[in-house]
Amino acid sequence: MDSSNRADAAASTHFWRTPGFVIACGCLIAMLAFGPRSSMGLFIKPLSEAHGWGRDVFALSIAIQNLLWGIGTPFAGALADRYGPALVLGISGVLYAAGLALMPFADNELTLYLSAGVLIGLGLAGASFGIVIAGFSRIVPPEKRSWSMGIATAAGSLGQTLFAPTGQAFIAAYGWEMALVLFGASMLMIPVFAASFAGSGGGKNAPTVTGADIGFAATIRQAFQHRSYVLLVTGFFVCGFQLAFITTHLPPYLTAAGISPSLASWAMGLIGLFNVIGSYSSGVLGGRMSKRLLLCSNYALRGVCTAIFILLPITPVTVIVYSAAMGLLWLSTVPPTSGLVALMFGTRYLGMLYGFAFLSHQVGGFLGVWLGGVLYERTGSYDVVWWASVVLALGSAAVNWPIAEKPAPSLAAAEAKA
Amino acid sequence: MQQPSPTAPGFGHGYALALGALALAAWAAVTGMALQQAALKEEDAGTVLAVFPPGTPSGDAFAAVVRAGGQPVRQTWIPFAWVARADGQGFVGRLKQEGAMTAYGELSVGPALGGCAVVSLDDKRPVGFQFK
Repeated sequence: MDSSNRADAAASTHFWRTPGFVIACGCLIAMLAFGPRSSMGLFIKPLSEAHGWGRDVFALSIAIQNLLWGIGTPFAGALADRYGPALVLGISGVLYAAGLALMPFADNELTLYLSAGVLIGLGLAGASFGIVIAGFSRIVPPEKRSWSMGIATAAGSLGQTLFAPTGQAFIAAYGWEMALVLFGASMLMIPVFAASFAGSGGGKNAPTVTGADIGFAATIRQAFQHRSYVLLVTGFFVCGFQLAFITTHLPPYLTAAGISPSLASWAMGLIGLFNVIGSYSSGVLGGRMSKRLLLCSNYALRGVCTAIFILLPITPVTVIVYSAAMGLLWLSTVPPTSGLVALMFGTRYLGMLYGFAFLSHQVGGFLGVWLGGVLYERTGSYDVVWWASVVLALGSAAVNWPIAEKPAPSLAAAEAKA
Repeated sequence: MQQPSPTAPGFGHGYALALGALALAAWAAVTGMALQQAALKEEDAGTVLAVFPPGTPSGDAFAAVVRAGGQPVRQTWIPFAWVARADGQGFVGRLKQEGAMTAYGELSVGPALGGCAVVSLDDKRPVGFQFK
């Protein structure tokens, strides 16, 4: 038996090196990482009451978390591009676990900012689906890339839907302190799953890695000089704005309009459920049709659906239909956005370049929550922000329209040279 | 090191569904175990979340709470789960005799949703989201 035959035989027995196994592990990482952060709200009251803190202390720690998550993602992406996703995911999983497990022991404000804010924020930056997507792009062939981005995003969506009831059950069964420790312990599975990326052959010179190896500084320079990338990053801001605004302000808006609390809760549940379907479908569609058109349609539909929703009288039917529609459109921007970045610049620096897009998304999220509250206080209604959301969505569709869905000139030149 | 083949692997929708089912099964097992631990004993009383069999009409659940000697406090987002209150030992046992499957203590009930950018800190949201 020659060496290549021996290698083939070994590969057939080592299922953990197959793309299918790595994708399963990556999806579990995306699920785990997105879960506890979406359940943080459950711990506000018990944690604040235990220490006699006002809500502002917890709120600031979560603000720090979101800020570091956004700022840290391009850096974590760059590290993943340089050293591989296994190392970044593994270390981030440990940071995330430490942050969660230390939260119950935070007996002063500073330690809460460090645990819930800094450690979890950095953990999220390196363990959420942006890094998983970058890792997948190194092991799957181009025709499966969009699908893999869709399944990673759907897994993250599923995680945020499933972890909230689990958190509630943990708190009821074991108390809030132990619930946080259990969440922390579950994050230690991230390094275990991340190890699968190490043996998957997804090194920076793997056959599926595309794009010139020109270094980070040159890549950033080329990316921000490329009009289509700037348009893409700008449009992604709107996604963050809308999601954050709806998540925070839709329930009080509905109840103020006379919708029962029960239906308002179901509305949020519907968004979560349809988000899983929408994210996966978006990945599938991104492999079959223009990603640019997919993005433009998504943003335009968000604008149209929202406009119809606020123009019509609010009834149980309109609430359910709007929630399902927004769920389908919720994170389904992620696969075409990351797919376009990969198409423009290749997959070599995908982690970092998608990270910059995500930073724009987080800034939008911050403004969506903040402006929603500020304008409500000033005007006494959400009307201004709802209409701003419609205009921004339609504006984002227009911004994404001129994107050139082809490799950036720098990538094309490098490929031609090669 | 053996590199995976760059040709299209044979996974797709079936693979995604199987993975989703596996994740759901694991989640159901862990959450079910925690819920079992969280269930109140039959002699317990106070403010409880009474859970009736799925499909129980809200009115029937309401009547069962009253028959058990409790005072219905409010309905949750699940039609067959009611927050109820009664003093004196054995309220949970009486609820079970009237058809409740189980009862929990301090358990916030409702879906919580995080977008990819935000954690809601709004504790003035409708009671259906969280009851404390």
